[in-house]
Amino acid sequence: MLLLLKLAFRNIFRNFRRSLLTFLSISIGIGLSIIIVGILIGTEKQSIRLLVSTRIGHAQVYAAGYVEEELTLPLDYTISGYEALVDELLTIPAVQTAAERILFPATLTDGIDELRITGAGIDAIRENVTFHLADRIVDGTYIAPGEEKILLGDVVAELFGKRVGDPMTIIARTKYGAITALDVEIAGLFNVGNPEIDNNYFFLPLDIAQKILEMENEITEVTLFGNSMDEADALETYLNGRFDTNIYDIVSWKYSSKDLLKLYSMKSKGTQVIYLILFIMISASIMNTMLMSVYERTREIGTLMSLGFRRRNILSLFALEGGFLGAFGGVIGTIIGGAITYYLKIYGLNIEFMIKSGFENFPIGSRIYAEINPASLFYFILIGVSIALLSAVYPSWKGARMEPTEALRAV
Amino acid sequence: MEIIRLEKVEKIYRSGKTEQKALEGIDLSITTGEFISIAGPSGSGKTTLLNLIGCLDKPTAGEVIVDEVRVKNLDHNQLADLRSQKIGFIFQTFNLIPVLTAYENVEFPLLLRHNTNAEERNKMITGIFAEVGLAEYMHRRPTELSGGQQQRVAVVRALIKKPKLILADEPTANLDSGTGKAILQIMKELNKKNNISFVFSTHDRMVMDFASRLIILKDGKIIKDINQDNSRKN
Repeated sequence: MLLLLKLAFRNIFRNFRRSLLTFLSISIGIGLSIIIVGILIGTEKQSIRLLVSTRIGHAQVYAAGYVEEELTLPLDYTISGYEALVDELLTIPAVQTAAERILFPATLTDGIDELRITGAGIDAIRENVTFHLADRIVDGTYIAPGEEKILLGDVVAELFGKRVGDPMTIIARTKYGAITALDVEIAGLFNVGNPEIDNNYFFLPLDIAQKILEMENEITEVTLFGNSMDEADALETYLNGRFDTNIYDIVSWKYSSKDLLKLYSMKSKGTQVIYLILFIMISASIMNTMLMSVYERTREIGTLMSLGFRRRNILSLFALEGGFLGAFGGVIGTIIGGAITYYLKIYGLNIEFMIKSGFENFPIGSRIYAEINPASLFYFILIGVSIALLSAVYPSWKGARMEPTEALRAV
Repeated sequence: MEIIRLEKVEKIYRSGKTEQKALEGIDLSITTGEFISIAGPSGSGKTTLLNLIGCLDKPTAGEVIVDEVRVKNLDHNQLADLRSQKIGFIFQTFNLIPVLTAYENVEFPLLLRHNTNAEERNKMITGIFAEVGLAEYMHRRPTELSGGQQQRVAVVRALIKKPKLILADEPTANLDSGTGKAILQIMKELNKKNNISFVFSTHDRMVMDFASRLIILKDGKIIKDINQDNSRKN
């Protein structure tokens, strides 16, 4: 075996330029795969974290039946006497914060332009404790109960050409279907970093929302944070056991971000196609190198056979050469890909250009941060070696099945 | 002692519907310590005969018996083992493994046999390199050696495992006459000293004269089998 290893190792340096090109194609393929995976996982986690931290929290409590209709933001399924519910939720050790809301479909107009938008009536204090909304105000002030004022996304304000202090009109339907309107003043502009919120939401005090929607002492949801995203399922199970599920729909962030998760699952299939193309490129490169090597060394194969080398020794020799190329390429590709991904994890990648070209509502900031799992890097080295070995099988088999006399006759 | 016997050996190469009879009705016996030259024009079957004797190929008909083993019934692995244990090869183009040093090339057949330790191998190899005057070139790669030096390494590689028989296909064809003669001299000395049989094919008159037995082939048949030692005495 040592003899085979020595021969295989030296043979890969025999045609240095060709081996270098093969090695580079493996390194680049593996490195790119690591970077792509890192960015995709980073994007996925970042967008879900952003969605959780700015919109859905770790879990939500709705009136029973609401989640079936949630896309239309119905006002038919409401929670009455919510103060007691929120107080009880806050007594649960696993619940850190909770905030009540009314989400409703609305139209925002300045008398000239109008925009279909989601209104969010919020308890200003609890919302700030839960989502730190006051910290996201980029201009103006936060809102307070009783004020007929709104917080508007800075992008929407720019769209309307409005500034802090300017008047706007909210048009909505009450709980009973009647059209209602309210003139409000822009108290402040926010930017929470989630385009879904920044471009599609405005906030107003809960009591004002309850008044215009005729929903006194009613809300549509309580959003809460537990200890961590990972513990959200356990929290959901606990809450569903503690509260009457005939009265409440209680779901975790996984349910609320299911569309996003589904999107990522579809994207991951697309990513698999990219992998496949990359791996075919690597494989073709190795196979080409190994076949060239077998043809060039035909007489040497004959010599080895005449010295007593068995067919399986020839097979092993070429397979090992492929394996070495895969291992070197895999290790270097993993180191370089890992280093670049680590850089992107720390410093991020500016994707402002993408956001401005069709990804405006994608729940992600202008900078994405890659994710890297050191343990998974080991698998990429294994993938490199496996592809190399598999690609070397055919050329090796071709070399091994030669007849010694034919091989020795080769010029 | 007889180490090779060929009985009514025939070798036919087939390519599609075309048949080429390379050897026909060959009966041959080779005993220990013989120094045999196989001569004949191109296409007379010299290389084919060496391939059959060396178990690199099997006959279409007839029997090849190497040290009492009938080759016909052996599979690829058994043939490889037989070559590894009993037969050494020397080629016209030297055929050293270019990524190995001269020392490693010679060590190669010993490693395949797994019956020596590193110390024993080192003793054997350094001793034989000194014997053929290549001690200072031991750790050079083949590309750093002249043709004559490479062929001497090839001779040593064939000899190191102490085979019963060494086959050499036109071993001096790629060498100048002086170097070729020196190689033959070495082969002859090793033949006498180790009592190993040598069989080599050649076109070269000088090489033929070196042999103690000359077998001449024509159109795949042995037309002459001469004991030159006896002829010289007479």
